Amino acid sequence: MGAVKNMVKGFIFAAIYVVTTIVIPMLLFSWVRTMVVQGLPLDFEQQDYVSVIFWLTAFGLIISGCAFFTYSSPKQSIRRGVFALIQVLVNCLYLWSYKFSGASDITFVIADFGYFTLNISQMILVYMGVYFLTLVLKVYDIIDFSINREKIREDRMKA
Amino acid sequence: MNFLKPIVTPIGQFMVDWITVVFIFLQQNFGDDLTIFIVICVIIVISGIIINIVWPGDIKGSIFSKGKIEELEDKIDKDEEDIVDSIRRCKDCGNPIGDTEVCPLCGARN
Amino acid sequence: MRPSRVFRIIFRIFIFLLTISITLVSILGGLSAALILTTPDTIEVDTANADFDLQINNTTFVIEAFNFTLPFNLTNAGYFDLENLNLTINLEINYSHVDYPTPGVNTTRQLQIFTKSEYFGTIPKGTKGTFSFTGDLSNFDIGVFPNVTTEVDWYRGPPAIEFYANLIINLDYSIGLHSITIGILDLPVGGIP
Repeated sequence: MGAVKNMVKGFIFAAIYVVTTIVIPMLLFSWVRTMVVQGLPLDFEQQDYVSVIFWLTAFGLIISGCAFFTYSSPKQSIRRGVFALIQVLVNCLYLWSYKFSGASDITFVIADFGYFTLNISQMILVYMGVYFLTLVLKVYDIIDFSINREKIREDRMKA
Repeated sequence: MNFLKPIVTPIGQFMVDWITVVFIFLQQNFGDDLTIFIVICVIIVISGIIINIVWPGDIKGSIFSKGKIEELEDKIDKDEEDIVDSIRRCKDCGNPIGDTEVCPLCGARN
Repeated sequence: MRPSRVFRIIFRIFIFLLTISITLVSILGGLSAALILTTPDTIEVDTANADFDLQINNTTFVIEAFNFTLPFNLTNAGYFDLENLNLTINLEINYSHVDYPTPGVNTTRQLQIFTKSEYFGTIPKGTKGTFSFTGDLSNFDIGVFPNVTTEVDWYRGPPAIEFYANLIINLDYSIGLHSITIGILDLPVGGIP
């Protein structure tokens, strides 16, 4: 695969990550803000909303950048392995930002009725476990790519 | 699932610890401005583009990678030559004879 | 293919299946939470049939009995069972306190007189759970209650004493991955006289 094809692939994956880490969560939060509970509108603390959106955008951008680098790199290359590892680490921070910015335990005020709180901390912790396994896999990849560097290059040149 | 607890709990604690340290650092230093994150994203993308042009990985990219790739190509050619060399040939006429003892072309015993 | 790649593929498939399962449960759980909350009359607190029995001794003015029953329904419109349903009720009274804080001044006060949590278990998906919350004198904070003869301004109202309930409903969802707390605040449940 040539440089152009590599980059097209990188851009496609970067776009996918922009959509899944920034656009969809933003739309989801906007939709939640328009929800009507027991016939009454929800009130979402503006400060919480701003904080959540800030960290989603910040880490989403870095994840998308790393995704571009990762997927535009040749298969089984060390640079691909390194950036895939960085991407997983940033993904962990991204996920944790939900918890830190209060989105994992957010309280919605329903005017003249009360409130409701949705706590997804347990879900985030389960995802953390999966990310740890992914982290192990990425470290394994880097070791594998480094040890078998010559063999991988030969195979790539033959292809 | 309780038997997994002694393994899973330290792992979870390790993940939580390092993420907390990094996140608090980011919150304290870059918690109010997206610029730094945009700059990092742009730097990664631009460096990705440049590195891909210089080292595309599977074809000759530039003068920087030429030497290495040619070295590999030589190695591949050498491997192919080795395969050709490894075929048994007739001692008299040089015709490839494989595993047979008698050359099908000149009839000489090998 | 190198053996290291085969091992990697097996490990990758395992992580992929794990991620897909958690993601599906999470998405369905989120959708369910939205469905439960947006469906009209998901939580029906039957205040009209709330039984509120407060007995005060006519001579000593001591509270002798207190019974409280509040029927409520909760509809599970989601894709999973609602687990560990727990209801906490705090009862508050609102009254005008005579000569408080200084003689000649009446102040409206709100005091918490009752608190109790009750566990109601599980509501299977697609069903409506009908429950009745009950409380008695043991959950009642007698010391807080004002002296009905000297401290309550009976000329206010009616009712001179208003009872309000704060309902806090806790439940787990999506195999415990989501927890929901719903608070219904200052729900009028009765008054004296």
